[in-house]
Amino acid sequence: MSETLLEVSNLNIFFKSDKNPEPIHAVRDLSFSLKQGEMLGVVGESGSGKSITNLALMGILGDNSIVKADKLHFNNRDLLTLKEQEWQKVRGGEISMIFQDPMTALNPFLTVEFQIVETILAHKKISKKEARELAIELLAQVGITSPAERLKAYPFELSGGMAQRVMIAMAISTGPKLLIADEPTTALDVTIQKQILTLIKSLQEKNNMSVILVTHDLGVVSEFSERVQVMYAGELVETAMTKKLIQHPYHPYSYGLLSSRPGAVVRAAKSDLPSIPGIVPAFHQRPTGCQFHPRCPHVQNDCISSPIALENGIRCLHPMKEEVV
Amino acid sequence: MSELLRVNGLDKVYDIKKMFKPTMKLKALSNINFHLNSRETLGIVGESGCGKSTLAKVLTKLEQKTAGSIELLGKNFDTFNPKEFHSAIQMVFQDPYQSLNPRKKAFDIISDPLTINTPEKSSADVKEQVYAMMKKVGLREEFAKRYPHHFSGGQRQRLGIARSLMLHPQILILDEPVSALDVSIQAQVLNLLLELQTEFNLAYLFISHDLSVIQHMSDRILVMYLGRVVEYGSRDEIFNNPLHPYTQILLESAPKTNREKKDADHILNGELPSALNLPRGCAFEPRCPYATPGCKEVIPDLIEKQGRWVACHEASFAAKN
Repeated sequence: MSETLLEVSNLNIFFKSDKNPEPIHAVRDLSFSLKQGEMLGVVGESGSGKSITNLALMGILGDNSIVKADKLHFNNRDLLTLKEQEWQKVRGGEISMIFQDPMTALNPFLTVEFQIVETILAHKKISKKEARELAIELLAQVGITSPAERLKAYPFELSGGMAQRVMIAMAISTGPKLLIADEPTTALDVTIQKQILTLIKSLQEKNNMSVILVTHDLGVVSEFSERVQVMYAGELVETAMTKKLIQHPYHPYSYGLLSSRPGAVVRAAKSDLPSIPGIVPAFHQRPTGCQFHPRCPHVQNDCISSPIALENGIRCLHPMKEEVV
Repeated sequence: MSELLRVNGLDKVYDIKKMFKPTMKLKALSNINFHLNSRETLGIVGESGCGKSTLAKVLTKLEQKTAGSIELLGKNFDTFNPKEFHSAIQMVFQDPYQSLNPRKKAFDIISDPLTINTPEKSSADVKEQVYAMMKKVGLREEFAKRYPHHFSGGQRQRLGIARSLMLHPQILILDEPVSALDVSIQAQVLNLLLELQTEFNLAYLFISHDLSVIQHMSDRILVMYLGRVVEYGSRDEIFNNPLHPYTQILLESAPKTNREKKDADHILNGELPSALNLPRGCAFEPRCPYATPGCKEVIPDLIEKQGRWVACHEASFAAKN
């Protein structure tokens, strides 16, 4: 198999806050790695820390953040020691990102042409004319019909699906090694969602690009990515090959997430769905011990006191034995 | 089972006025027919722009219909006075962050329907009813004094549901009630809705773009495309044997965790055409894999076929493939 592109070991992200003397611990002991050309699905609810991790990888967290890690290596370089000038080459050049809502990610006052050409010129030493030609080529590549005309369009003239294609064209314009897609299809209809995800998948395979696909939908992950990690309240709770996790989730949270999804299991209509009680704890009200224990149906005494380590890809002392039926 | 609501030939046309340009007509709904029985759930699915929410607005009189007739509880929809109307039909909105007044306490949000529609009720009576309803939807009594921003998304949606049930309506219109919620919270709210349906004998008009939620909740399903009904029938008929090519592709596109084999990958090409400039014939023709030249010319009627209603010239052909 190909070489490792991204290696993260014991990543911790804190936020300083005026209200709390202690900084808020948003992401705790996160370790994972990603190979060149691989797609990794990240699943979690709001507040799980998945977006903050991505922002840290892009180096665009705010000044009030503290990022600590044993290792944060990308393409044989240490991201922790990068200077701002070096960051500017990595960010948008080697690591690109597409966001949830394409309509707010594009600048409404500027044409598609201006925005794509600007990105290309920031990273490549070519003339404006060549950049424009490259932009047309990229738009055609992401499936936009009559790309030369679309260049003149403003974002409000595009539909949501088309705007997301423009975002993707912009993201791949610099030939990135890693594409971070943060809920790229949550704002889109199912039929358009399938078009966009298929496009990302084909670009991944064609360009041998690595992709981190963040989503809250286990269905999306199971159809498009080989490996998945589940996050909860700032911690990685389970990581496995997608097929295995869908068949047999070991962490009670993954189990609950999977079985509470209507349609995950063939069930009589209008029967009660197994649900996870309670809500994700807020950043400043995190419990001790296992983060999931206040909501866990299988909680035992030893879950409550001390933090749980990730073992064999599972952060749980009492993993589930049964499969999702 | 008695019939609560019958919609016949409903049209909604918006006039689009632009300076120095002739007024354009936007047909948001054309010729919608369906009925809703007591205690059942009718699911309404379709992509954004297909007219789901316009339909909900017309049915709650937030918008006026252009043509067609609606019969509510056996009476003409237009003859209802506001008070009668609001005790027959109520609505729960999609975004619980925007549909609750941020400057009102939970108690006032829930009690408003009562104080407005039945001012003769004593305050002790109102209080008792509000607390009883809060308990039903799983909100603790002490929450009554809090403002909406103190609540989580799921709790806010419970507030919205409690508010809509205060006048004991027979029909509840749920416009994407769980799509703004986190996955683990969705199941909680869906279970609550099912419980309340049995307890209060409610009929639901359940609007969603999420097919798995629709499949779980509905007895019958109405599939819409660009303001028209394309398929209408029982849940099992529609999910097990969809006849309209649009329904088929919609069902295929939904991501699943338990897809057994890779289906013949139908990716729906193109996007929804503009409602201002509808195709002359079948609205789905430009994206349809089975389209024939005839589809371009004539709008297909909704006809009964294999136990459900479908609007497609080539439905029998599409079904075989």
